[in-house]
Amino acid sequence: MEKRIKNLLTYERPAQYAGGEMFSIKKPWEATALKVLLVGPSVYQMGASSLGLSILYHIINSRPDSLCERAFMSEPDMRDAIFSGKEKFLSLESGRAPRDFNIIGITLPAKGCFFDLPALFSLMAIPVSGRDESYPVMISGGPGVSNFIPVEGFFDAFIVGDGEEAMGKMLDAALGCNTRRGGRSATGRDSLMRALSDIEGVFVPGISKSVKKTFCSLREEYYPLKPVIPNIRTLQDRLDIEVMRGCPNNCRFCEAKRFYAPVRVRPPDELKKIIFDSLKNTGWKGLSLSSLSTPQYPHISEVVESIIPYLQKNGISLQIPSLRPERKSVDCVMKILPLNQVNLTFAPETFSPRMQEIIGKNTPIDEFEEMMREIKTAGFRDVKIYLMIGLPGERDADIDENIKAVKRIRKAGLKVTLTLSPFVPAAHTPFERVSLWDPCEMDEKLKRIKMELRGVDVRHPSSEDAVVESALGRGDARLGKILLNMPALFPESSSAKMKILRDAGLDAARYAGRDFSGGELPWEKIKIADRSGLEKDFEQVRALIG
Amino acid sequence: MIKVRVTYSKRGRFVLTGHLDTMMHIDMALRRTGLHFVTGQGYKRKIKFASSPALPLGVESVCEYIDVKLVEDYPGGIIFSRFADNFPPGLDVIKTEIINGKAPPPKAAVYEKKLKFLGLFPRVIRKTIVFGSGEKISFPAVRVKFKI
Repeated sequence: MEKRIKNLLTYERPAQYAGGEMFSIKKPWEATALKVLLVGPSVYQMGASSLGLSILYHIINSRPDSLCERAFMSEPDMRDAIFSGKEKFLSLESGRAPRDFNIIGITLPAKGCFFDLPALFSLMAIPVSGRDESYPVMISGGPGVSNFIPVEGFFDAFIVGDGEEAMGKMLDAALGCNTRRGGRSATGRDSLMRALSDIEGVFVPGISKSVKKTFCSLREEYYPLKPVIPNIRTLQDRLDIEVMRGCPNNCRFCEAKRFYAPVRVRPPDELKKIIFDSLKNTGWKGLSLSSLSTPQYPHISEVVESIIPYLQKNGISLQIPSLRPERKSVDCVMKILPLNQVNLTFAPETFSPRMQEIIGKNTPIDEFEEMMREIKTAGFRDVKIYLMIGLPGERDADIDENIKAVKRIRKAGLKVTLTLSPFVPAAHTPFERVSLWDPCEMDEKLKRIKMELRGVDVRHPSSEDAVVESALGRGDARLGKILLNMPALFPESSSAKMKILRDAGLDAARYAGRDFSGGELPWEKIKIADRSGLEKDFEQVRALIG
Repeated sequence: MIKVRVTYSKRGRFVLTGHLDTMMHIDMALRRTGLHFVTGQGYKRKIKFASSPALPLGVESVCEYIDVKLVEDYPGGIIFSRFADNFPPGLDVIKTEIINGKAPPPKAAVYEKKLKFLGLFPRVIRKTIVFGSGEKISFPAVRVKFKI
């Protein structure tokens, strides 16, 4: 132990590798039949407070026949030490190597993690492909697998959709196939893979032909009332409670709406119980009520009104993210003003009525301006606004509308921080076949808006970032081959990622902008949304797009 | 209002946790106790507590303390048991005592370090460091007491 501490002291934030956190669960290794390791592809500081990981950790450890441990991507100094053989990538709870586990689950919160997978596998000392039965079963899940085609070769199985029930069924299958070793013999592994492919929402490469997204009800017992308290302060330094899953709106560009559908609402009494119990158990000073559109949670007023006295008495701050630019959001914000200052961030995406009709998100500028005046009167000084550029069918006149609208909002007396996001067509949305904008045109548009809005803090990712995002989001097996064969690197910038693709003979801009207008889509075997419904939805606005 | 000094140890894996992160854990532990503390009057209602000087990373201690103020007194061993039950693993409460009047601040800390010499038994070296002197102490060492 002393030697381990001495070694860890040479790395940045050593507590992140130490484990032994409050409420972490360490079960007896030998006495537990099935051992699962959940791996976060981001560093501890970002991933340790992940809600999805926390829910699965709770569900697996609630079973007497299984144990679940966690591990996160190491920071650069530790990665170098692991690659040079000085250190090992170990689980946090029992300090064991990933290979000792029966199942390894890697959550992919976004497609941006795809580039880190070769290096993550290398850190874990697990080959990216061609693994025999002596290796653990590698599974993946999370929103990043909505199009898993580019990483199909890395994993033995994918969970598409909600993991709560699918994970339980997978563990049952693993126990049923080869009790003590969890599928660690050739015959055991084959029967396990076949059993996994029979589970709804699970795709097994080489066996499954297609997969339909799975979803479950939000049952109270799935929710951890004592989530692990990280050893160090994390980016999400508060208690995160999911109030509902799914989104009642139908924005045509949004993949999350389709991935998390249908809308499932947590009953208000159950939600209040979870909030009070979790706060008492953990002692967090902040609370976040999260969902894709929290102000549209049907019982938001009732819940906020009943928790405010407790939060006020105990000095706990309340954050409601994902504010939709409409009256309900302002009412919600006004309610929590006595508690703490609220960060006001709205995402109208566009102020042009024509574009609003195309994307299916309506935010009349007159109403929005009126809301901004009310917010100013309530004492707010600044507001963040998110707009999208490069939407399908966008013309110069639409950009002018956005510029005019931002100028009007500034006249309300608020300091505006404007974030411009280049539109990235996503799989499983009505815009999945839309072609990507030209990067040069995009740079021109961004330059023009910045010129017109001098004095406004305008932020935006580079067009290269969006090109890479689009290439990964609508990637196919060709990209998968490159990822499988790429060296164990951690490319952080988009230009580094583009260089990797270029070196492998793939022009990222041309690949991202390839024609999807006809033929079969690479992700057609992943059935997240009804494809004919998506096509019908797109037909409604095709004339407007032109 | 009563003043309580909580003495705790910081050992094991927790020595890898820095001072600010340790203070976050203590603040959360105080909230978990459910005791009625004196707080600030701002939005955050911060529990007012004074802690012992920061411990270097990697150094153990058996004499860390925090001074808190309770709005009301609690009978018997409730105060100790609430603290002992809610501190995280690695921070173990040794004792709680009620302080009357002003507690004098520590001026120096005494550290013990085990050194091994070839052919000899391990020897314990004691060192007293006055705060602000700029002297540094590093792993492996144990803070054993404060000089008032």
